[in-house]
Amino acid sequence: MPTSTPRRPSQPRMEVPRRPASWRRRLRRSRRTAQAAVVALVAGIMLAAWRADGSSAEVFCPFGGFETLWTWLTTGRTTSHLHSANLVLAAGVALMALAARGSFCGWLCPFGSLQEALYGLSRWAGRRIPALGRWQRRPAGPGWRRADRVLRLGRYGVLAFAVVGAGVTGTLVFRDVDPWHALIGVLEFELSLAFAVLVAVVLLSFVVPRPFCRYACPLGATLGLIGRLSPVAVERDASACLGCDLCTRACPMALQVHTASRVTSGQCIGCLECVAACPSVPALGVSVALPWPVGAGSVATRDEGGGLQHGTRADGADGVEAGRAGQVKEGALR
Amino acid sequence: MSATATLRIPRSADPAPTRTRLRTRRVPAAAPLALSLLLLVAAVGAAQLAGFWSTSGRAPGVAASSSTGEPVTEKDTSSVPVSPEDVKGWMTLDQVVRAGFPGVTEASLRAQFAIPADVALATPLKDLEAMAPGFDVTALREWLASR
Repeated sequence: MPTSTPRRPSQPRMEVPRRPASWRRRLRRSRRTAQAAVVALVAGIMLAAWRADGSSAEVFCPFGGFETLWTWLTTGRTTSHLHSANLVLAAGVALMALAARGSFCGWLCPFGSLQEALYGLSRWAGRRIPALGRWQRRPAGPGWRRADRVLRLGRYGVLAFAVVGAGVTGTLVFRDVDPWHALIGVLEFELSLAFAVLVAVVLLSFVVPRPFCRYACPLGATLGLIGRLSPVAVERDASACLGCDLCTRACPMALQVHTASRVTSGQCIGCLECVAACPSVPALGVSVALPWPVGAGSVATRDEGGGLQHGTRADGADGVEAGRAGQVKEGALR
Repeated sequence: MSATATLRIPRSADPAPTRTRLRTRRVPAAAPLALSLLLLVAAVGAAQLAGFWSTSGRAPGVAASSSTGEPVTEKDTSSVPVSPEDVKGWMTLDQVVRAGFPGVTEASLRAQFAIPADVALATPLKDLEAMAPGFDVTALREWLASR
């Protein structure tokens, strides 16, 4: 009778520094503070506009600058409802995208913050009400992933409609369906198509994180395209990765960070939630690099200082360059 | 390092370090964020210093047409637009009527855009959009240009 040999516990290959919980807390607190400050600022502007002693919050929307850019370049004037402040803010967020990809979306955009807050509220309620929690299960499966991938193209369609429409007609064609426009005018209680879209976004935000950002935001699409030129990105070192997929679960845009080697997706909002969630310091971090990839087939080597010289790459869908996730062994996360 | 400060990476993890770019360098996560925020503030500050920051429709063309010729710093309801393109949402119906566009009177304006008689002449054009269906500033400009 064969005797079974006892399995030896797997030996760790190396030890890496664990990310301190205080770092996570600091990052999240900073982001929440920045988001709350912008929301408070916009609320103040809305209130002043409602009392008719200030400009509408619309003149501080960076996307307005992209909408009116063609009209301004060709006629020297801005489209009705928009002003030079929109152009300046558009230039500012474009610079932000070059410096840190979608950081405007992840740290400053008040509409994104609202969606995040609603989703957070829904998760909070789901933890306390089991029936609600079951209903909130994350959609999964190849069918959902395919649909999600197709739906994400929607924001480029919205971008084309808004910018080309504004350029051709000289009016803000997107304004009639823009949920942000409905939100900043909410104190006027105007029922419109844009208001219906706003209601839909609010309801969807309870089940999907940042639904408007993912599928319809033309500003996010613009910044995603500009951000492709950015040398900055979240980078994952597979050799220090536990493959726990905490990063992917933390991503509000549902990017597959745990299988990526460099997150160059136009959907990345630079919130750094993935980095904050990662327990391994060297596995996930922000790096600066030349914006173009090295040639496929390069061999990865570790230099004396533990730095990395070359690597291999494979392009994944939507700019998430694929790597290989490590497998989690029991006890690896101690 | 203490046990709580380190993580054990299992043997099954990918042994090859991943690097997809030449000359990559890890930077503190806050650095690009701080730089991006600085760029945004610098863009707004530079525009304000250059006089390119405007949050209302008080265009230079309109300012020059004010009675004093001085730059308009507040909503100056005494000024009038000099051309249809100068018509802005903050202007009132009265300003459009007083501009002296050929054949444009209060009556013709109200008739053209079905503006109710109880809407005061001091009403800003942007507020009219909610009161008179079919009215918008762009349509008004086009109508004035066609006169």
